[in-house]
Amino acid sequence: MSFNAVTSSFKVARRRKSPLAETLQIGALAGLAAIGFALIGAYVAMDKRHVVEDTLTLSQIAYALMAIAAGFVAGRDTQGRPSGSRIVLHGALTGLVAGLCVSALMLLMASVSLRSTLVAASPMLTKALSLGAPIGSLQALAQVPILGALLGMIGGVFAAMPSRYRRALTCGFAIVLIAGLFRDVFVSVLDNVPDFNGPEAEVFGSGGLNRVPALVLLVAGGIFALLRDRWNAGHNPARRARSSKAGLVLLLVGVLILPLVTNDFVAQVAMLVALYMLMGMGLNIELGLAGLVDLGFVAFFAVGAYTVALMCSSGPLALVDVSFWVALPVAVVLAAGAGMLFGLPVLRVRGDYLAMATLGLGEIIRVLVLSDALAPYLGGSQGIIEIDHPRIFGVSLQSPAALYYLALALAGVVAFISWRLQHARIGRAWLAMREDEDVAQALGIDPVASKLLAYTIGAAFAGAAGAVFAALVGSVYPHSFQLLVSINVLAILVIGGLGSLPGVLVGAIVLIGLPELLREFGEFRYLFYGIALVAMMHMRAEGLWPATTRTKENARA
Amino acid sequence: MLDALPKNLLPKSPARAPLLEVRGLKKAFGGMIAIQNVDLSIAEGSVHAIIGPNGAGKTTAFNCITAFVPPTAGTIFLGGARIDGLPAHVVARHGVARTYQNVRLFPNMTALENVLVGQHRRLHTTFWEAIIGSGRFRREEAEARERAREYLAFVGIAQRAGDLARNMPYGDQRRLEIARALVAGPRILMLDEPAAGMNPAEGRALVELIERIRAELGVTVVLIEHHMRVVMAVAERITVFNRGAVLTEGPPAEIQSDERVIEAYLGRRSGHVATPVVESEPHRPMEARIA
Amino acid sequence: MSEWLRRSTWVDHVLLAIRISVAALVLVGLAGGLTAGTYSAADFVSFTMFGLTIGSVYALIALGYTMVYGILRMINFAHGDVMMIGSFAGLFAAGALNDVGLLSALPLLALPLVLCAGMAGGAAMSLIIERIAYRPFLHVRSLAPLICAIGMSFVLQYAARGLFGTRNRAYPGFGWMEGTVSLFGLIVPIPQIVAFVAALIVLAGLLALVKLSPLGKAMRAVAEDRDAAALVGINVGAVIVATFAIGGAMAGVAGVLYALVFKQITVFMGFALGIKGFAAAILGGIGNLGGALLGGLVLGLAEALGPALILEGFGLPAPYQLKDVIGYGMLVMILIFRPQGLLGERLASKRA
Repeated sequence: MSFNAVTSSFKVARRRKSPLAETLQIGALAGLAAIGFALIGAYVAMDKRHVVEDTLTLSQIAYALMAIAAGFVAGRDTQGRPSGSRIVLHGALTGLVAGLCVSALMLLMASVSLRSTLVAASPMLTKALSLGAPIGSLQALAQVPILGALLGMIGGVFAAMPSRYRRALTCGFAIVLIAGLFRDVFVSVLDNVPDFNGPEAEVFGSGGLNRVPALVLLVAGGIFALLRDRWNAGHNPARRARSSKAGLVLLLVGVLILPLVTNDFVAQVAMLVALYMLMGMGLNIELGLAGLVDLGFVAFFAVGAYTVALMCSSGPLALVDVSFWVALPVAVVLAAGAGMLFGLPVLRVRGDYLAMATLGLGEIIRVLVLSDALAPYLGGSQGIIEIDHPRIFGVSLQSPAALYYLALALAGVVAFISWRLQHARIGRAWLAMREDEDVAQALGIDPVASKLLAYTIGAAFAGAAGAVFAALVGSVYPHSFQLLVSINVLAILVIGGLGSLPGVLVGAIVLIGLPELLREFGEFRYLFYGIALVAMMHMRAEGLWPATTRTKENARA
Repeated sequence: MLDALPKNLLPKSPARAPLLEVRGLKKAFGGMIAIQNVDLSIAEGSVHAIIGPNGAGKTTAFNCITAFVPPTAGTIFLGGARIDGLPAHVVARHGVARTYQNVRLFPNMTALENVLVGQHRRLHTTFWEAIIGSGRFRREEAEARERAREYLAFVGIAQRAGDLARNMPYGDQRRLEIARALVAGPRILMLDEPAAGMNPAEGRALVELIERIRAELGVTVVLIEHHMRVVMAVAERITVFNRGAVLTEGPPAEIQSDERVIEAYLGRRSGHVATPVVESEPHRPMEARIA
Repeated sequence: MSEWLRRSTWVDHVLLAIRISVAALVLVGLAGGLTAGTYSAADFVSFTMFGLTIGSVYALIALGYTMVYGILRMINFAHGDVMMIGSFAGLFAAGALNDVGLLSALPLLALPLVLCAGMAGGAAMSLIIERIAYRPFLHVRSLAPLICAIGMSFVLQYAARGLFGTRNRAYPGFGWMEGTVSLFGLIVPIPQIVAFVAALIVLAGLLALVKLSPLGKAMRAVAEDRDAAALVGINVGAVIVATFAIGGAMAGVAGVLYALVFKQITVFMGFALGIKGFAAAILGGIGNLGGALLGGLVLGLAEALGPALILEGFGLPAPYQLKDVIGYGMLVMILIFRPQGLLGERLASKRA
């Protein structure tokens, strides 16, 4: 896409510095990243999570990755020069510089108290960064740069080695990391397998992987990657495409059976993922197809949730007490109506006003719901509780797994509707409007009407998600409807790929599922989202699972 | 020099009812008056060219007629219905279609999809029918695709249906733009410099295409064009713009010999202005424009 | 009338209906509020004073939006967070000055120093945002800058949260500037007067810069037509950078003045103030510097007087909880009633 053209032209325009200066600069950048990571409190928080029992914590891995990445970049940039030792040297130098930055921070913290300004600069941080050595000792200060240089050197080696081995190492490492991080999920799966009580205690410790299994997994992963490479090399691309289709099927099967084979906590997380998928599909119509940046999405989510709450609760605030299946369409219609009413004035004006105006809308709804003025009807900050669970054929859907399937089924329906609309007259009109609004209008497309339709459908889907949310949780509170919900959905779409339905699935798993499972991560979730949004726009604007269906379809046509 | 042009091949019948009637059109951007007192009358079924030096206000007049920009004053009637002041999509629904001076396709959509978007107002299935996938919806989609292919074939780029618009050669992009405009079934087609950047062979093909648009589809054509060879070959009437106003109007033969037109193009002291290149050597692109 | 009927589409008809109903609602509220008599005339005067103060802060924020919009035709989504960073930079400067005792002894000397710190913080942050979110996408028409800026906004908020903590931070006292003064029989807090005057001085300085300096001339040229400006030898990239820096500095001033009046700041304050600054910018007519001032003051007054005048009229309990609804509601109202703003967009829409 044109994004790449622009960034690469920038690189060309940049004056080449000497390789040494560039290496030092990369090292300093990595050092700054490491200092930032420590000072926002991420280091201490993630130090509690052991990936490999008693050996490696998550924050140590993060630091190691920073050094390796810096060494890799420095090594790659000096490539093209003859000597391999030079690459390794540059890698080591970046790691050393980065490590020195961290040591400087430790020295600073030891000599002055930064705590009144920077809350995370605590003795706990100094202790964690000292890696067990006496605090403030020469050993504590010296070991970080040395380790950094070693890791940077590894990064350099990484840059110099053939890509086949690089892939193998990456694969092995990724498998160890995933196994260590998601220990709880794997243990719960193994727990569910009957007559299988032994191995999990051997493989997993109380927090992460044990040492020997970690090593085994690393080697196994590497061998697997090598074998796969060889297999791929011997086959034509069509066969490879089929194997990636198999990957999608595998993913879907995993999604379908996941809650059955794990515990309730994982099922609950899966439920949340499904709910966000539902919302993602809604925003996909607005943002992915029609190009409308809507940050007030949460407002319609709230309309749906409060509608169900008022219609299905057995509490004192309920207006009526009807079945969820009656309330759901009402919620959808009300949310769509709200979308239409608000959309009309806003959609007439410039596109990027929309982001701000809808932001305002989301806040208006939240403040109104919280206010004393509406408290007699909506419960104020107390919310509405005792919402009945939905029933199917007299069976109440109460378990997280059952509710997960409900949310998933609705997401499926919504995905089907979006897919159909995308390939009809109105979907083409949306795409055309996104490409060139003036020309689309000159072809007879009413811009306000088609935007309004996209906005209304998006609002209706958000309303459906809200309705399911109320039924899932059993209660609604104003604090559930913050702007962050809208940002979550936006990030899902951008990360997954704008306009891509499988992208919504991938985005929801990555952005909603993972942070829920990695509790240490929770606090830094939005920081990570922000970085991911920026990085995605710079490096891979089309998303993790880009929308390619259109071109494929027409190649066939 | 101008009378060395090939003779116009078309039968002329100037006494037809006007399809497009523009009266007293004026457009000002801030203090700068782009056009004023423009009167135009385009006969139904005719091919009408608008010529004039750069900056004479030709494209501004087009933009006002297609409601791309709102006119400051004046009235515009299409087939007796008043269309000035209406939003662009409503004007389009009255049967006005256009192309752009610098091609404006939907770059990330295929040629076929571009033409499908052009059919927007010919299709009638509702939102609900699209969701449930009713028989009517399927029929209409199939017809729309069929029609899209017909129009791509009509302009001669049938083999490019699956290509992304941005990957197509320039000449094909121009043809695609015409197909996209035509497929809507307009009463009047407004072409803004359709021959720009074309070589003589492509120019001749364009002349032939415009002939077919008029003859086979019965669509009235208005074109802005700098290439005198194209203009003289297709136009029944020519309106000359100069400095934001209509200088003169008449059949090609009259325009060719009009002193004022030659003066507007060449200026009084013609020494420093490029002379019009009309009969150029075969390989020379027709880009070389008059003044 | 018949002309309107000929030109209008269903959109115009529905909008007219919305306009009439909103106007009716406001009028009913106004009538109720004026006759309720809950507040005395003196109350209204002090509300007005407060509205002007907060309005001048909004105006300073609005300037950043309006200037960037004027030049790039884009909205800097992270501008509210730039203000937050400026405010924190001011906080640390004030803390340092307080430690040496300058703050309470010579507030008139200390305040400009703190303002400078805020300006520097805001300008630096604004430059980083320009570098990351806008410069790489300068020649691409896409959603990328907007989404990048949304990302940056979150990076700033949550990095600041990690660095500075979630609790409110109190600004140290500015000596005699903390008190109140009696003006025409009304008791007015001094910080309000100081903030208002300081905002006006900074605004006047900015207007002079834009009208008189060569940089201002270049900025106006780039706003008019970027390509033409480049052709006559203006360094467009440098002008864009300068615009972001000045906008960020104005936001930094706003952050410090806000803290002067409200005494406390948090890392999340940029969000609400950012939206209101934006509302002020489009209320005045985006791209129009004078409009930003007007829009800020009108918005501040609406927010200060609205609950008492309009919401009270509906007999709502605790109308001041809904102050923000008025603020955000104004944004929607502008879009309903007059999207081009009070003074209109500076440049006529130019297409083709």
